[in-house]
Amino acid sequence: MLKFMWERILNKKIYIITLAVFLFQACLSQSAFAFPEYTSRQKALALAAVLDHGYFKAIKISSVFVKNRGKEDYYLQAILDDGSSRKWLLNRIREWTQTDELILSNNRALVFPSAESTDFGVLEKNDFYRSVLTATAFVKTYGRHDILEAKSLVLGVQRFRILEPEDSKFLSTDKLGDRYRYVLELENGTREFFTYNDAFALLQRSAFLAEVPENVKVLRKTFKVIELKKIPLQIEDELRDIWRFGIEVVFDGPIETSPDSFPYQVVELKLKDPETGRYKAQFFLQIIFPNSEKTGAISGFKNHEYLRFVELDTDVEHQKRVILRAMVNPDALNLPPFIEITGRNSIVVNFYSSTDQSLTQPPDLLASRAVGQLPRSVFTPDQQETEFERNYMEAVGLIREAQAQLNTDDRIETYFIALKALKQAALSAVVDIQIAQALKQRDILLRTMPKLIIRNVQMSILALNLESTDTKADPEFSKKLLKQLIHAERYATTREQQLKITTLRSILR
Amino acid sequence: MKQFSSTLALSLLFMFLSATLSLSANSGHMLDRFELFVDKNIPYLTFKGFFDPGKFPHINITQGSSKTETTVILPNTFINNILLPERDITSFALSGILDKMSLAEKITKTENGEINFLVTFTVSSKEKHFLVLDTKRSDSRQLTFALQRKQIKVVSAVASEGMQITSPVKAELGPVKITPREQLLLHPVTALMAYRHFDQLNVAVLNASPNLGAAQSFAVMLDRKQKRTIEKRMGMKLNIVNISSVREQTILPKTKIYFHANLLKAALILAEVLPGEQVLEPVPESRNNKLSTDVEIYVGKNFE
Repeated sequence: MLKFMWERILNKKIYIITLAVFLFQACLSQSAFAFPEYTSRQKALALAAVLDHGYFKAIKISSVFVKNRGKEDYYLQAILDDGSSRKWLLNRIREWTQTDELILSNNRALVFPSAESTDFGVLEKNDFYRSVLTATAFVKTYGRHDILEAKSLVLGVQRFRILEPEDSKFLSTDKLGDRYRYVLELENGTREFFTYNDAFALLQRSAFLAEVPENVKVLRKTFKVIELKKIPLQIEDELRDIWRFGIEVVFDGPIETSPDSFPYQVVELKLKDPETGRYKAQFFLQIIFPNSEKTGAISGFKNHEYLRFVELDTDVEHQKRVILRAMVNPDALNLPPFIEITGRNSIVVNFYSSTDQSLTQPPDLLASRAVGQLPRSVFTPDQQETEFERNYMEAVGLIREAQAQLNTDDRIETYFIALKALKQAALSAVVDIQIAQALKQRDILLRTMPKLIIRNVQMSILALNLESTDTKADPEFSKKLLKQLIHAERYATTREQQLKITTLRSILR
Repeated sequence: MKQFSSTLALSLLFMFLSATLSLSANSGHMLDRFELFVDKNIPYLTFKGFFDPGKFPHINITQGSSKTETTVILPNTFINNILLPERDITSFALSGILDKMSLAEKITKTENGEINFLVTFTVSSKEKHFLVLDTKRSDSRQLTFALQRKQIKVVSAVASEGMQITSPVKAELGPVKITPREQLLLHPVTALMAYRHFDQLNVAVLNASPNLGAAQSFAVMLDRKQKRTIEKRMGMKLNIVNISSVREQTILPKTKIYFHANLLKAALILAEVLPGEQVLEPVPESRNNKLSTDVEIYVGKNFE
């Protein structure tokens, strides 16, 4: 009966095809992440020399020689002291080193830094011990896909130990299957566990500092958060109508690290809507503070401009990290946050808002079709400062300087200088994007200036009237205002502006 | 009827396979000429012509038969025989760096009738230089290789011939020196003045999930189902330039979208449209210059 059923099932071609596809995919998935069995001739020769006189399962290795299967595929053949001869494929050698079945002579360890390549190294354990025991600071460099990827913190070293049975990670392995061997306790209260592979990489990177250079600040304790403060909304850029608000995170001491150590990320979470019962995507903006702690309850805010449920949490996945988290509407998030370290033991996270959608709006698809790759930025890929770059940066600097000036008259004068710098930049441009950006910034300035000038002249006339009704205005000052009005008239965009300018000019005359 | 349904299933399967393969369009590079120049003591070898930056990751650089020799294989590449007729070059504008460069073009026809074309060039340097692809100086009109001197390893890792252990970059420990240019690009408001708006978003889809075909499925989903919605919302053409697996065998719990500093908005739109939960992060500075794409999507374990 069973046989009959099986035959009936197999008769259906579609099942056979599905089974074949499934088996094919299963085979592929197995081979994709497997460590290679064979290596190149050069590597095989080098590895044979390394393994010579080592120990395999407590038996001394008499000699190791190289054999090959094809033109490119080499493996090892080992003769042990008990007279046996064994074929050693590379993947087996890696497994035995991970489980301590294959031990090198002279207190060394064989390491395979990559799970996909037969590249290997030899860790001189004695060198490692000497280095770590004399170290006063440890350079912690964050790994791939960590939010702090490739960033480094210099942390004070407290104690180094070889892992013992009572330690939590004794005999446990990392994602590559390598056993944890050592633990380094640091002054900020964190612990670092190392495999032989880690030890090898750390030595290569010179991560243990016996003497700390003068310009390097060693972090010996964590930054403890005291409170969160709101920074109210204020204008950031009058030309583009960008507003800024912020959250100030106050710590117990000075922040002795650079702003780039505090990165941000946006995390999407599908949360159940209590009303409809359906899952809805919510976005959370997170600012990460490494080497930081939240020791007590820190009250957050329910709302602050476009941020909702602003709170400070301890990162449960990483040691001594806190996260400033806020729910955001992705449509409101046009510009990324910007971190500033203040001189009052705090970090200000600035957020930006603007109603001007053209800030992030790309050009009309039909209007500009790029042929091939176009440069993304006005700057040339090489770090050389060109004439354009010098002029353009001067203009940008002047625009930012003007925006910080409270006196409108001074601000207008600085904008005039910036216009000249933009003209120079446009004249020295060598690629389209450079001239396009220089002209775009010029146009943004010219669009805003009539409004500013009208307001400035109105305020100046009003101030003169208030001071005295008898005294006449300084002719030089009037001349300056008239000059500004002539400029405004040329670039006035509305009829109303032109009328105001004409009236103001007649008053000044 | 049964036969018809099984034939239909089979043809659908083949159509799916061929469609996924067709995602990798048969484009490539054309070498017109080359230049050797020195910038801040680092010599660079630049090929001028037409290049597909999406195919830069497939360039294979290996050590040649001697310490001073490097072999580079440029897949999907032709040599412009009119502009670059020479195959063995021994005289260079800058003397004292390169000894010889040999170019070889190989065009083969596969059994299924497809044409494979590649260029192999071998460079012999006077000192022990090795070639590194400089993506920062490479774009659709030029392909640049930096000629770097071989470094001495910190640990005596039984220095043997051919053993190539990638040594991690030594961390800069002192206070970070920010140039005026970086300062301008770091601030979101001043950065607005430095970047142009794009009309095309180059996306790379990489597999960081235990499921082998996840990147491919994700790219198909992105290209077929979501492309129009995304393009409409972003106002940019979506261009998938690379689909591959992650080398370092990383498994990420959630799909991660890495974006360039000025592309937060585009990344948010992508995350909103894509199914599942995503994590969005700016491209780390260490990888910033190496990317020829605008957005890199690492398909995580949560993608089904």
